[in-house]
Amino acid sequence: MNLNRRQFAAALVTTAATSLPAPAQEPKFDVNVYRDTSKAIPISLSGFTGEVATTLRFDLEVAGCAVVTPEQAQVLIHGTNGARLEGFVSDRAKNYLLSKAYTGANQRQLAHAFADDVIFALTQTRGIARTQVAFKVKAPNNTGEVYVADYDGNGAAAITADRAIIAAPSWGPGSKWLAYTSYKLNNADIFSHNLDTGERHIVARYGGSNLGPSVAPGGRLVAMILSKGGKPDLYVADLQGRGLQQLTHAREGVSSPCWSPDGQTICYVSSDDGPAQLYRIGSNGGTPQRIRTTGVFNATEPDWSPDGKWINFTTQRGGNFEVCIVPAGGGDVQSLATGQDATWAPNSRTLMFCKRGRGGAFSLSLLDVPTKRVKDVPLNLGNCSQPTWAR
Amino acid sequence: MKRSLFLKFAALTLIAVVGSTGCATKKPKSPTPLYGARTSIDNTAGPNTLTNIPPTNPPLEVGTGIPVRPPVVPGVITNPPLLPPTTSTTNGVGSQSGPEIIDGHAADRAIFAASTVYFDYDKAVLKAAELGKLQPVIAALKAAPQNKLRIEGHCDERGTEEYNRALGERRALAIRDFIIRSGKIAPNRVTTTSFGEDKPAELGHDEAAWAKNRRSEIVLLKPQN
Repeated sequence: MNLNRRQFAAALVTTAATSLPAPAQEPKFDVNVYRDTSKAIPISLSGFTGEVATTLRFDLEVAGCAVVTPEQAQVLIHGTNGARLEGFVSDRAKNYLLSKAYTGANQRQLAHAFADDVIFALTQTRGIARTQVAFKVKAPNNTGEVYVADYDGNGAAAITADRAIIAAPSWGPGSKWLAYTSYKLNNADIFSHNLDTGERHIVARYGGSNLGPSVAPGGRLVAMILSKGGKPDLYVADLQGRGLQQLTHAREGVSSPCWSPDGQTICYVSSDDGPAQLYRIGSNGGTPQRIRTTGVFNATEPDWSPDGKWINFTTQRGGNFEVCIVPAGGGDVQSLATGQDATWAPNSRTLMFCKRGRGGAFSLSLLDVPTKRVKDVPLNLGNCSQPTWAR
Repeated sequence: MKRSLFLKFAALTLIAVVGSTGCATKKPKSPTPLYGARTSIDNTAGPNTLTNIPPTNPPLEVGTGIPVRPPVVPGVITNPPLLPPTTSTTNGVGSQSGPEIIDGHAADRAIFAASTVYFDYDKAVLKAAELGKLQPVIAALKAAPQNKLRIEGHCDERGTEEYNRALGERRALAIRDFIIRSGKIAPNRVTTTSFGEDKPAELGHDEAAWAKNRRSEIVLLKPQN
């Protein structure tokens, strides 16, 4: 119905304004132009105010848009926000890609909802504006707590109050569980933690260190590093620690497991051949296979993209850390940004990683992989590291 | 005259119509609500309550390498905690004011302070020059069979966190292996843990500080009486 009215209006304009100079013919917005490319989408934003304006701008910039003047923009986004948010998205030829109103939540949530719809209209992929992350916050006395926050750092809240060293949070099924390492019982032990009830289980509290839990997609298993066998080796068990199975028999030691999205394969880091390298092994065991990372000499902290295509990891070159990606089967490495320990967003496009500041403390940043643009996460919690994205 | 006036009026009307329909295309009158925005505020569950985990000291067993602390039976440590409801929820671990207790033993960090072993960058190999530091440790264990050891591995900050945590464990294990093999000490008397880069001895960001952070500290554990 809107379309008919628009066509009618367009017909009227062309018939009534023949004496005016003909407007330049603007191409219709084509989602394929900006799909998986390194080009930021030039957009303009107008009409929004306050928290909605800043939230919307942050969301869209992280998702690969560049905010420019209306004259330069390929996509015009305008609207109003009051009791409800009304948002409109059109291309230069005034073809409307989206027009929606949003109610029933606070201004920030309305803005996130609109941002996700804009990104879906422009790229045909699901937005990440309403996703959550977990990360480690370390106090000056070296103890830490696990925090959960919106992906933009808003609403950060501690989910532990242990005043003990903690490490390596990993999301479990339905984003209702986290697994992490805590030294609360005076040893490096692995816990699973139900975010709804606060219920916690010990997943692994064996002699030696129990490290680096990674919950499998679907949440049935946890991959982790245990040293009870004499070397740090890769094991799997369920969220309560039952059915423990040893997968590697390292000469030197392994670390940092992550899962393929189908749950069939685990990628991890091994030091058996000198410098740290990426390997893969079936979730039921088998022979480990090296994942080649052509162009770098060491690789740690892998994370497998939810679409299965890429593995991101950290390499150390000189004194610097770099966030890199490599095809999941191995191959040429692309270095993306200075930083370390990145986690994939559910869109398999955005990464969150940490950067070390001058004083040695870590802070969190977001990275749009195709455009390599980085945006810092505004947090005032001090030393934040080891982000993990709920997906 | 009349005719041209009528034409002018008609033209004005047409422009007005175009203008109003143009506006209508910009702001549709019946926008559709988005479901996500509604559901997102229903999720008011908020952060969960925190469970205070009662410290457990399961008996140590001798495994293939290191004494095994079996995982607690599933369901034992859940919310609510197994402590009486009146028990204070302040933490027993990490904030105690008395002597440090590890696995039911009193921890003595001072006695082997001179036996802290240092490592090369990104290496867990015990250097020959460091081996002498471990002889007093072995002698003390032989003299007091009731005592145990905990070896704590550490790293400098040049490495990613979980990689470093495994590296610290490899360093602690290297010392444990040496003490067990060279000193003929029962494996269940020596445990390890790794702190990665989380507990630096020196806070600087240069080689001098890093060299002091790549270490394994040896803690004597005495039975509590």
